[in-house]
Amino acid sequence: MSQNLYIILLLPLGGFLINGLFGRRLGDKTVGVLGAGVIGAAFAVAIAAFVELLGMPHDSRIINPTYYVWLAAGELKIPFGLLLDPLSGVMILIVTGVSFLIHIYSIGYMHKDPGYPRYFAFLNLFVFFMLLLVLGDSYPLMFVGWEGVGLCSYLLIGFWFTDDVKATAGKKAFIVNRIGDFGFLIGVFLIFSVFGTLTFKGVAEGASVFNGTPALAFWMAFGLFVGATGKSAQIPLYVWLPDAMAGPTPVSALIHAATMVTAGVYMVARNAFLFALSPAALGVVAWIGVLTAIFAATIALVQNDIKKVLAYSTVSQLGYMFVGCGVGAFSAGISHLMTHAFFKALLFLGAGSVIHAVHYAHAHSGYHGDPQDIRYMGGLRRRMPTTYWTFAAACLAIAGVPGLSGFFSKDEIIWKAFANGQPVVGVTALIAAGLTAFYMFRLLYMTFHGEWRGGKGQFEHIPESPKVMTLPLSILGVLSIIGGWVAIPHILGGGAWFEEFLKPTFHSAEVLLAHTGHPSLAAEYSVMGISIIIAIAGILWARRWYVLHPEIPKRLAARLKGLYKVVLNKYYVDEIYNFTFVQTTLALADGCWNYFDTPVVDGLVNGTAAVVGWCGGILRRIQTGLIANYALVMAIGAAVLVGWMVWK
Amino acid sequence: MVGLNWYLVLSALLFCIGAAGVLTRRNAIIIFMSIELMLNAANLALVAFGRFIPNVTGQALVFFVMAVAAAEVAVGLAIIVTIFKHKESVDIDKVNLMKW
Amino acid sequence: MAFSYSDLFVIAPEIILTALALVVIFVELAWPRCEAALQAICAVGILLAGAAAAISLGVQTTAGFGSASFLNGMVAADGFSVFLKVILATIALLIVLISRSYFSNAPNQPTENIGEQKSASLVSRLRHSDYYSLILLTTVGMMVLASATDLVALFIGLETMSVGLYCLAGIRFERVRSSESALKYLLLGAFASAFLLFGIALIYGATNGATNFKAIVDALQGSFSSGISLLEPAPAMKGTPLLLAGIGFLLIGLLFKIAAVPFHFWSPDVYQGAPTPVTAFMSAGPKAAALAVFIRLFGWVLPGLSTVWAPMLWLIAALTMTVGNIIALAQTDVKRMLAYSSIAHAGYLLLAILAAGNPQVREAAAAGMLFYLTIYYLMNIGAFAVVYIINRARENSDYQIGDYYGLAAKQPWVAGVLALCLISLAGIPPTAGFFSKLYVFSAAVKAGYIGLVVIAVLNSVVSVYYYLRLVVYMYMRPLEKPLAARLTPTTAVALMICTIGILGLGLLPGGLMKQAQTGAAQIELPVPTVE
Repeated sequence: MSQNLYIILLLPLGGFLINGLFGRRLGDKTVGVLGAGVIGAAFAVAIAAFVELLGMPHDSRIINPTYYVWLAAGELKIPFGLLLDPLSGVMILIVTGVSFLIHIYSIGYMHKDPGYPRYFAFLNLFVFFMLLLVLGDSYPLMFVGWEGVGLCSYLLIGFWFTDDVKATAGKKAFIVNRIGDFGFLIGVFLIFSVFGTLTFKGVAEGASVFNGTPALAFWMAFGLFVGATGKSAQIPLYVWLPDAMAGPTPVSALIHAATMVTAGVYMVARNAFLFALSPAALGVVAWIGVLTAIFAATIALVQNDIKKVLAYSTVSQLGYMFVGCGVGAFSAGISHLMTHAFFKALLFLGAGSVIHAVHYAHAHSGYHGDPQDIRYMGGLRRRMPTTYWTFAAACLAIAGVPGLSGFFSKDEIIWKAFANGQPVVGVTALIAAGLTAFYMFRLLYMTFHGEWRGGKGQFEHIPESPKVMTLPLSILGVLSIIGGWVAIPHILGGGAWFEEFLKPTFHSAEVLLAHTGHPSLAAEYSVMGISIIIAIAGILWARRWYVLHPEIPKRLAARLKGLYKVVLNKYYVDEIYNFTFVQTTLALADGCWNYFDTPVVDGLVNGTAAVVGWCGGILRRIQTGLIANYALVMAIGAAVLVGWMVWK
Repeated sequence: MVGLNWYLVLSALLFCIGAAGVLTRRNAIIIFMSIELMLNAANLALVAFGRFIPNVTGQALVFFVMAVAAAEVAVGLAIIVTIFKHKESVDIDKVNLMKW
Repeated sequence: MAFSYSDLFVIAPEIILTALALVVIFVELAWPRCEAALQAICAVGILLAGAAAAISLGVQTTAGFGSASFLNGMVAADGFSVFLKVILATIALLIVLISRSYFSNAPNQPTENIGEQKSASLVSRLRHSDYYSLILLTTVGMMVLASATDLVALFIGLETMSVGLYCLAGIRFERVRSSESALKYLLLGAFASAFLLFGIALIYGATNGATNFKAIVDALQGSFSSGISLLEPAPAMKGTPLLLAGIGFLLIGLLFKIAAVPFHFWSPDVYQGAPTPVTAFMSAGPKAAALAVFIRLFGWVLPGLSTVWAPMLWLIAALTMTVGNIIALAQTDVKRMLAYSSIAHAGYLLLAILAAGNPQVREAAAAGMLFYLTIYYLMNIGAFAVVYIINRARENSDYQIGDYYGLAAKQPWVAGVLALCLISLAGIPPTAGFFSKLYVFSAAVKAGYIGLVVIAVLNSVVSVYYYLRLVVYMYMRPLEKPLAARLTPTTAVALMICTIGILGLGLLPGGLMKQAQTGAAQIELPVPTVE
């Protein structure tokens, strides 16, 4: 097994090639079975690999097969090797497992879509790149996966390309991620120039004897973190993720909730040894994380689109994971990554099930409304019991109700923030946890409780989703409940098995950070107690507002109209970005209209791209087409060049 | 006695005159002639250096340059003729179909 | 004068190609309208020339006349120049393959203005052999330029190449754009050549009569650093104003050929107007040849003066990549966009020249450059070939991006090749384009140009936008106009070579890199045998 780890990569790649090249000829049924089947097989291989990993001694659980020397140039030697250690072991289980369920779900969800083969081909390709990202044992290999998942996400967001909004959303995701990639690449080049190698193993060894300046360590880690903020939708690069919800809902579940967006967290954890060199960089990680967590949570409070709520919730939860990493509790961050993958995938799939059903009802009653707006839903629990119960389980898990998966992972992060000397971060995270409980139950109550608020005569048409969709929901529901049990802390009588399991991976980082203080048990209990109280309070508060007294929020919204509007419009961040980058550009363009008489900007409507594109539009005017001008510029250039050479 | 510097100054002057011709004239043939002038300025410098160093490589190179220039003229005039056929003119300011 | 027939081995590829150019003309005279035969002859001959280049290296190393001088030290016969000759031969081969029946469809082309009627009668007299023999002769010029180790050979090679390219750019003289392209190239190219020649004259004078590279090195050492080895580490030298001015003028000529800012203005216009197969040729060959002699000159002859030329090149490299990329963003004509993209790539390649100024990393830089050039011609020729196919199918006189909407649905293979080439041009792994950038950038990092590498990375991030925009249009927009692209078998072969190269070298770059390193390690400057 250990040498044949590559099989896990070949399976989805094979699925992609077959579905992509011959999908149209195979027929939808074969495509679906094949697409899901290869991922199922990959999941089986992942389990086998994981079991083998467990069979090894605790401190040396590393499988690192190298297949060939990928590139060699002087000092630069990069093997094509895969790295399976506790960290990537957990990741491949999450990636293949959740993907498998979502593939199955997609068979039902995408039924009769004209792009069916294309959809499964892209989805398989995504899984391939994600596994490569996770398993690659060097920065370039990780970067291959990193770019690949970005490309797939881009293609899948714009999957229904007939819709202009969706194509724009894809483009936005793309541009924002480029900014992140720039940081990533700069970080990698710095790492190469400092350590002279690009394998994780080599850099880790170099980092353990690193004696450069703190500034250097900071910029290396910071560059990588900029990459992470792009991929994992953190402030200030989070703006693409809510728009990315334009893609099919299973795609949102897989890529924009469970796996791809967590790649940034994985990358930070993978580079724990590097971040540990720079406490300042870790501080940045923790603060960006917690600010994102609370910022996105407040936006989620008032959104009315079922997927938008979940999108902002994802941004917020990703913030928690970065808090975990930032306070040096890498295993807590990864543990939250895992539980979040379960309950957030479940929430999205549940939302997909709801949208699917409401859409169906709309279609059968000739009513054309937004099938995603929760203001026109309600009472759905009576029509869709399985969806309701699984959705409720996920809400309880994310809210942090004791005993469920989200409780253990989130509580661990908050506790570590206090324990490792970041109390402000901890308090902020606690407040965000309360908000989380509130907006999740607001969503649950508005969707599934109360009376149907949509069009007349539709409610009876709402169907429960087919088995092929509810089965993955049920499985994920179970995982959302029990998934956190591997991480039950010592104080609750658990073994903190998860933390122990990941310990070898983060050992060197933890040695460097050396959190000496051993806060008391009482403190840990009290933090836990407070977080439970806050979660329960959030739930009850939502119940009071949206079940018992539904008029309160309306009254409040009316009274605080200004604030409500600001938050509803996501603090106008999109507008601010639009204004600072796009509008100033256009204003400038107005000023020099004579130089701007053709529509230069094709699709360059977005952020920095517009600025750069505008420069292009102006700069290209230098190219006048006249030989005389060219010769003149050449002569001036020649004079400057020769002048410099002689009189320097 | 006419020293090396005299030749070099003459050569530099010729080169500058040629360059100025390229920059200021609009007739393609005259521009082309100006370029030939620049080449000949270089030739003059080569011969002068060759004479004063003394070394024959410079003079040998000049023969190559003359051959190359002849080839360039042959091709160049043919191209200018085709432009004339299209535009009825050899004014380079009228040759700006492709820009930006 | 120690001329021996073994010297001819060294220039066997050039001799073969020149002979072939004549043969092609005669063959068509004897059997008109037999393009397939002409193509076959060219292909075989080019392969022969490539093989001859490789064999000449093999013969040399086994017979042990390794560092001997050939032809009085005019050209090098080292691994580096042989590597380049093989690259250039492959470029010529690909161009011959994609040019199939380029002139057969001439009547179908839409007329653009009244001038065309007048010259339309001319086109029938144009023979295929004219085109093919020009390609071959231009390749000869490039080969001489790439292996030149003497300013005389440099000038002759450069001019042979340039004159051939002027003709090729204007070969569709019944079209106004082709003629305009040729005129622009001719006037500006000749202008730049004059600078180059003047530079040669000044260097010749300043080094007391040296034109041979090795002789220049000796002259510089003798006068400026008295006996200290010029190589490791490079002692800072002070050049006389005459020499420095000469180097400056020479630099202008070379920068013009690789289309570096501010000497790049010709390239978008010329690329756009020239026949597309010729554009593909121009974007790949001359750049490779000019950069080869560029790196040999600045890395192996003039590294001691790097304090003088490096800051200037730094600025030019930064400007070249930035201007190229930013203007490319605003293009709606695909061919023109690719032209600007090739300006940007010249900027990246200048990083290798800069890095070569540092004797410790110059071999890594030269190897990176060889690798980059190999990948670069594969992806560029692949992209231009597809542009050519689409343009012919559309029968347009321009190359608007709208022609590519929904291409993937109708022409999945052609669209796939173009997408692959674009992704590789953008430098996204696992395509080979990623490694070419990685090698060159890491050499530059090692030479201490971290700031410039940051600019380069930022630029390549920007460039992703316009490359992938086209990919997205091909895959995610509905087809607007029907399309019936015909793929000739030879073009298909060429596209296949490009695809296999880009993917194969992306997954297994090791072999080629090893060859490039061997080639770069063998760069040498032969001594002149005659005084």
